[in-house]
Amino acid sequence: MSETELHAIYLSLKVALWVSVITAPIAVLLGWLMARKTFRGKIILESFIHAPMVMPPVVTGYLLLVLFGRHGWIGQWLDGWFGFRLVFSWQGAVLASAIVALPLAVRSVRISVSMVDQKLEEAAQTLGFSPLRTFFKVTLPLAWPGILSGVLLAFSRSLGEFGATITFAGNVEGITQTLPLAIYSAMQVPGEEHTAMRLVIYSLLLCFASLIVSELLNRRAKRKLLA
Amino acid sequence: MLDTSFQVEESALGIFGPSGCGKSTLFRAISGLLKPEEGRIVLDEEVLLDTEKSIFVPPYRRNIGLVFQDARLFPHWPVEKNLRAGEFQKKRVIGRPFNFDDVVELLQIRPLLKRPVNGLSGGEQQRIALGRALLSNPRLLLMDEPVTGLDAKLKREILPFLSLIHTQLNIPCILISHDMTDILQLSNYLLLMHQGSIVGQGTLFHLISHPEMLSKLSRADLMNVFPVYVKSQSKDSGICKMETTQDDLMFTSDYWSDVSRGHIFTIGISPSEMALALQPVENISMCNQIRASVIRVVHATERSLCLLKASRMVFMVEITPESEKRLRLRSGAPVWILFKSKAIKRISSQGVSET
Repeated sequence: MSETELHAIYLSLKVALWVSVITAPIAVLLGWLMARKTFRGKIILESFIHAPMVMPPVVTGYLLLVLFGRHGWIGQWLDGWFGFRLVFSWQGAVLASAIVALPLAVRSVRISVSMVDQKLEEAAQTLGFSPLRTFFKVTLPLAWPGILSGVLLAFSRSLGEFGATITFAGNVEGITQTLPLAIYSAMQVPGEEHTAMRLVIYSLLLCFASLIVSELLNRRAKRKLLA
Repeated sequence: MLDTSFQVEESALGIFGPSGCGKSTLFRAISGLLKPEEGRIVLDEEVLLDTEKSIFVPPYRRNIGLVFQDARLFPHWPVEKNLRAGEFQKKRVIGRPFNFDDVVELLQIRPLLKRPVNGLSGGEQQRIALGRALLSNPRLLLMDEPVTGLDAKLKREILPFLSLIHTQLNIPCILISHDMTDILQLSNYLLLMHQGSIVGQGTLFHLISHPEMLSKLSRADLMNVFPVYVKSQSKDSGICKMETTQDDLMFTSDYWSDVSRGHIFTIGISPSEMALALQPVENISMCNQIRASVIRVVHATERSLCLLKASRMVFMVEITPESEKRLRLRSGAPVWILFKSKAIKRISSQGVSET
């Protein structure tokens, strides 16, 4: 394995892990909101959250450039005040993958929260549980298997993210070249077929590994719940 | 649609009415789970709701316990953790006049403590739900049809606990039921509801004294309920002699194999299974003849209810308007109440007398 290949794997895992960490609390908050609350403009919020799921990832990447690019609306502020640029950085890759993976996590959380019997939450309130305590002691534990699924789904999705990443974070070897991008690059170069094949195999191994870990964690969570 | 207004200063209250009349809705409003569009709720001089002044105390700050018809135990916690669910508020626990063990003994749930929640029977779940609500030291306990749906044997087991909660633990209670007999176990003071409104409040005696309230009570709702203790039993004679705990009226019921002398329980005699006579009747198979005097006769559609006083107890006897005319029943008139031994139904067990 060459250093480039090693880096690609390392970067993919690093990005996917960060995506999971960032999307988890956001997905839990938004999923809970969608499942439990009604408010004006809820449909609009829902559409915004789910848009990246139906938009071509390249379009998502383009829109991210508009917002966070060097001359983007938020990007120029970040650059001016902190000297920080998201484009062509691994943090940018995280952002791109997170936006694309978030809808999946939110959907999973929403479904599992809506399956928590609200009668139990009512009972908790009559026992003196504030809404916050009710959430952490009753809703969250009972929705946990679904939340975990959602986060793992986000992890897997971001392992495979391509379109938004290459558009926004770019294909910079060693910095933003995740595994899918590395495979793509290898395929462009004649004579690098073996490299491409190796990278594909690593990619498949990662996928299967994450699927197995995901299934094991899920089963453990369900077992603990029904104990 | 709920449109109620009442003010009560009792420590035990029963809310009675047919299914769908709004009893549960009223509970939800009192506990804060439901926020009415318009209204005012005051408990012990604390305003819990006042829509005009935009005051609304959320349920978790009201300190009102609620036992639901479906126990609603937390499935991810074992029984003991469920019981202690409301104990996280240290202030409430410090002021509690009873402790964890007291409640566990009272409800007889010690063998269940370490068990998971699923797999428990309906009666066990209800007792644990009751214990959980109690241990949070509520200043008012609301019980929504806590024994509805349980079989008769289970009801007989649990009902005494409900009245013990009130008498031994000194927690004010409100009980909802569509079964008058259940309610009378706990409280004499009733709120009668019908189609979203309160149509009457007071003791059962007061309620049945008024035709418009009596008309809302069906035949099945009325029951003469008394605590008694067993004086003697005879299997050969097939009878059980009992005496009321508060007076010295003697009743004779059928023989029950599972009770013994000194056993205390609550009995019920339906007004439609009693007859009135102007003189005592000899040579009759009916075992019970109680001397009483007429208080008054109340008329509902197609039936008359005669209210009588024997010793210090009030009896309701249903008769036809024709019989009422024939017997010429007037206030103060002496009569004899007759009923068979079979008419006496056992409602719940209260334990054994020490005398």
